[in-house]
Amino acid sequence: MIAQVWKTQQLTIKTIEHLSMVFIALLIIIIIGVAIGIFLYNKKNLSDIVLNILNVIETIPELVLLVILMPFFGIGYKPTLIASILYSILPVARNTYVGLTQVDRQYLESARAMGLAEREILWNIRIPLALPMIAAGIRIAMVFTMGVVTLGGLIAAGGLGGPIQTGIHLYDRDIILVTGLWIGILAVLVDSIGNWIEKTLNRRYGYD
Amino acid sequence: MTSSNQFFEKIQEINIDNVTKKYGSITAVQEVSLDIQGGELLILLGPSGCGKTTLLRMINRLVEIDEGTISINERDVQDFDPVLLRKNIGYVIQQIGLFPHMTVKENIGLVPKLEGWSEKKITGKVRELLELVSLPPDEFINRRPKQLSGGQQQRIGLARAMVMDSPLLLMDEPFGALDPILRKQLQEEFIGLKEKLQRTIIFVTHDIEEAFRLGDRIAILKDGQLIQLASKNELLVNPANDFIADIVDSNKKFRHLDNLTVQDIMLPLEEKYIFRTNQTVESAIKKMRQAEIEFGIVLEKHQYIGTIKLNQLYANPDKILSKLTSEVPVFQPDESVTVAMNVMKNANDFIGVIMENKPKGILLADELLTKLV
Repeated sequence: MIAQVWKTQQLTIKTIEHLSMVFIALLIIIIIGVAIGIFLYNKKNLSDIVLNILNVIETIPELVLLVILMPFFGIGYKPTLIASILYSILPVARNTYVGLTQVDRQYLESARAMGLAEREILWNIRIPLALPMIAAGIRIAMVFTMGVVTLGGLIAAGGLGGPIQTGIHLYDRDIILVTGLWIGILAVLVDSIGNWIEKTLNRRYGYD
Repeated sequence: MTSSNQFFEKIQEINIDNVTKKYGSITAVQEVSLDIQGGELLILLGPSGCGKTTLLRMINRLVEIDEGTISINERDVQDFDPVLLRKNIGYVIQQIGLFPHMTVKENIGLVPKLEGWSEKKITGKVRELLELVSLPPDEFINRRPKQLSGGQQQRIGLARAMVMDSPLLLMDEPFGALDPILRKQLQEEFIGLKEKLQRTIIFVTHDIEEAFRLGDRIAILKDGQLIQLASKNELLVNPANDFIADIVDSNKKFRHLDNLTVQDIMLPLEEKYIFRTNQTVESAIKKMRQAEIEFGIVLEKHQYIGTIKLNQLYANPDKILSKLTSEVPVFQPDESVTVAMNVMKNANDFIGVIMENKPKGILLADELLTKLV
């Protein structure tokens, strides 16, 4: 049963498609999210506004977000990618911001007293010490992105959401079951990689 | 540092002139004026909240002055770029603030690296500084802060403050968080360093004992105001008011000096200070690190053999413990403090052991008492 579904639904190629979509989305999310966090860390008022906007976006259900984007970006790959980005920027941006602003005072104090400029403190002290926190945000983004990309199958984005759609339309229990379980396993795998990275960073840059 | 960035070769004098700092309605420092001479170690002494730290931090502009001026070699600190000014001034704080994500070398070498020193020059400088603060470079250069004891971290903090060879050091209660015996050891080590380095040092503390041990002159502050700036002897002989008399003559200690015995002022001997001759040097180092101490008393059965210090252990990892002990003055519990302080003064020792058949306590040289006997 598994082998048959795998073959008819081309799950190998769909998996590659799926993961590459997740990967590209994540890459963009990390770049934008970290950049927003770095931009905001010394702007208390602006950060409240921006993080609140991102918060509102995140409260929109994934499905609704996809539908809202369709009039602007059509169906398929593009709106899915944009939806996953919008949806996952918050955890990365917020964790970056929190990580950068909550560096222990004693480190900032001694860095300043040594004659480090604000910029040097950012790159040499704040960012390294915020890495475990940023990684935790990225890990949340990974899980979100897996979800949104799967949902993208509904609007023909490709990836593993496609076979699920097919399964639903044909009411084919085998397809739904095999693909569904496979997505679940992938999500757990991706998350455990994230967990491992987070732990490693914590050991290297963590406080205690 | 490139010479264009080096603001002062040597400190001739620092003038603090009528300086005031307010936080809202609270006046942290009020119209304080004092002069610091080049090469001296000036203590800022006072209870917490007296403004001593604020005053210190105004010198390198971590805190901006509200009124008055501070000048170094007759140049107003306001005329310097604050970041460059701080690169020219070493600074050590009680919490040390070693960066947890960097090794000892990266911690000490951070500013040199940002200044563009070569890797080789940085390594050389770091090794030299580690030697200076009595930490064997090979052993320590690649460690991370969490692998260091409190005393070792504080030494690294000091080394880091000296890396740019700045002629001025600001120190804010650097030994405040340490165990009393270790604090005494580091103070003694620091006195040696101070002689070697010939820097101008401004040192904040609330510990009168520390102030009298380390300071050339002492400025006593209270409620943001300077009460008296004087040499140690002058403070004892000529206190400006009751507040100062009270500080320097903590009544309980000195009023009945003649009747005082060593057991009245000794530290009881805790288990963590006891080591045995059959221990390996390695296990002794480990024990000291875990207990955050650098001093111990060696016993064979219950017989007192001598005392050990951590840095001697590091230097001789292959020897056995009983070969590394040194002698310190030994007193009976009922011996008079006057006699004991004199013995320690003459022997130039700052730690003594109190014995009653077996070791019973540890006596630290008390700077104020030593002055009085």
